[in-house]
Amino acid sequence: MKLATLTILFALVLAFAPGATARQQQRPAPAKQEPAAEGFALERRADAEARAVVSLCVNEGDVIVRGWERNEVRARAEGHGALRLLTPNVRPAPRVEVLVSEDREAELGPGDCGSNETVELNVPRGATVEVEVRTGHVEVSDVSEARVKVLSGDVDVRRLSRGVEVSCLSGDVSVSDSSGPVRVTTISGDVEARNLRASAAGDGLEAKSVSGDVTFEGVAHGNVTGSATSGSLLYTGALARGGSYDFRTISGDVTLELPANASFNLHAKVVVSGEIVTDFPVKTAAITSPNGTAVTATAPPPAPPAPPVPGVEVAPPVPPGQTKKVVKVKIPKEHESARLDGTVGGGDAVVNLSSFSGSLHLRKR
Amino acid sequence: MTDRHLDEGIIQAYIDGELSHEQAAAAAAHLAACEACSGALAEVEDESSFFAAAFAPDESVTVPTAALRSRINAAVAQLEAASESEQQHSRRWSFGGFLASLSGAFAFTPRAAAAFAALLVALAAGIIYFSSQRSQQTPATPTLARTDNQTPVPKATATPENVVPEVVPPSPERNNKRQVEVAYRRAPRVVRKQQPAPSVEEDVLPGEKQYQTAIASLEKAIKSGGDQSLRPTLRADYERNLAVIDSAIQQTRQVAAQNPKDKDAVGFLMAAYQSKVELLTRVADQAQVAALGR
Repeated sequence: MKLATLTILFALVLAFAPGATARQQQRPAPAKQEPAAEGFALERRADAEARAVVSLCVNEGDVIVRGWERNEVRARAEGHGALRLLTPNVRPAPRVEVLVSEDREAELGPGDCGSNETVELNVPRGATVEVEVRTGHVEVSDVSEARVKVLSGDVDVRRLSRGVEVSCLSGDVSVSDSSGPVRVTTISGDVEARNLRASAAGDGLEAKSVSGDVTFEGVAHGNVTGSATSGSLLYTGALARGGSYDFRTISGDVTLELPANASFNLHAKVVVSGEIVTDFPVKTAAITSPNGTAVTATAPPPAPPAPPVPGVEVAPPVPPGQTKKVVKVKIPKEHESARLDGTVGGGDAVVNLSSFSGSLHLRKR
Repeated sequence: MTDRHLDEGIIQAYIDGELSHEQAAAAAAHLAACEACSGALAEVEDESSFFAAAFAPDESVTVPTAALRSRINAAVAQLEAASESEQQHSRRWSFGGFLASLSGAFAFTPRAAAAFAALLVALAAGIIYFSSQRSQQTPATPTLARTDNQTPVPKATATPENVVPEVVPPSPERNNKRQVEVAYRRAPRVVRKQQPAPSVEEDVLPGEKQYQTAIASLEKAIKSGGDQSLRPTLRADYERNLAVIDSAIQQTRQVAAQNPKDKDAVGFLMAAYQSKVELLTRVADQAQVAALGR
């Protein structure tokens, strides 16, 4: 009797064992923690689509994102704590949300924003990266597209192929060697946009700062907009044929350093103070003051001297053969504004410059 | 506080939130205008962060008081008593107790034990065979089939979160939207009962009132977020830029009001308003996030 009881019990145990094993197989495999590389305390990996969207929110800490050839997202964190990759139940994952926390026991969920000393992400080159950081620096390179929001910290974006969008409250922003639409906004900090180009018709480049300076260098977008409140704007490089360039400051200066053969229509205006200074001969240009009088600024061959406008200084005509011609317009106090409209070369691009109380400079490189 | 610069004590008190509202406002105004003091503020804040990080492990350890210790001892004693009674209870009624009652069955002779073992092995082999046959006949679930097909098993991807059926799209913008919705639910006054627009002068320019209304609403949202929404250095930076924009608004407005038909002057005024709205929106967003404690 006892033997029979034991046999039945044993049989029951064995009968349930395979079922239990099968159930264990259906459960998600436990999170494997790769042996982290030197300097990194945590590491996680996830298979991802080539054009996956990878997002990360960090409260305090630096973020480095690099594209690589693998269709895999690897996240590493320097500081101890929690690190998690959240993906939908699809392989490879079209979306990966990277979650960090300084608390090792934290139960991280979608939308959580934690801290770590430094978080490094390697993502597929075709990925779109969305990074939000409250306090910390952000570096993004060699991916397709990036959207970065930083409250306090610098942002450095390099070699992106399909577009960049950066919004920063306090910090410098640098975007270089990239293509696609670019939009950069910072409140307190400088913006540098270097070696940028459009990847499709209609791609624009827009950079804005309140108290920082904005620098454009070697950009090939057909539509470029720069603005600042107290900062200054500097554009260095050629103008695209048919391109449109719009630069505006309230109290800062605007300076364009263009090739000697630059060709554009110019619309320049200062409102209350400042001056318009150009190295380029502006054809059929008119300098207008509020009283309605107009003078021809420069026009090769030299036109007869224009009637003087009270308070407006124009450089004397330069003899034929001299390459440099300077037009300098000073806005006297009694005048509210002054404008310089005209054409340089064939007028292949449109340049709009305006400043409320700063100066406008057009220089030959 | 000196006339020229804030002393370190004031700056530290400002960071720690120990100043009165008036003193804090005066300090903030001074910091917004004084680069030396805002630099000193940044240094003090860095030092504070450093020490906070350094002492964080110690601060996280709570030292039990005598009262707490006695409560813990009492709780432990209660737990032990409960555990003992539970063990007695389980011995009496549990399945383990039933098995224990069968312990006499294991008093085999060597020969009987060998026979029993052989029988068990045969029985086990039979059960395993039938079980495996049954599991082969059962069609595998798509998940298992997919897993089998994936020859290179993801190195560390098989995390439990990977099987979360539906993940909220990880777009920060969407997250923000969610936060904003929650924030509005928590503080419905921000949306439903907006403060009336500040009194505008009679010669208000077209479009100006809308900006002023938006700015008043955003400023209220920032105030409702509390003083802790921005770190002191960031707050000083924010106030400095706010002063820059306000100055620009004042200057451009003066000219635009003199000649409302001057499109350029009006355009500059509106651009300055737009900058202010963008700045306030960014800070209000942060204030809402801070209010949610995300």
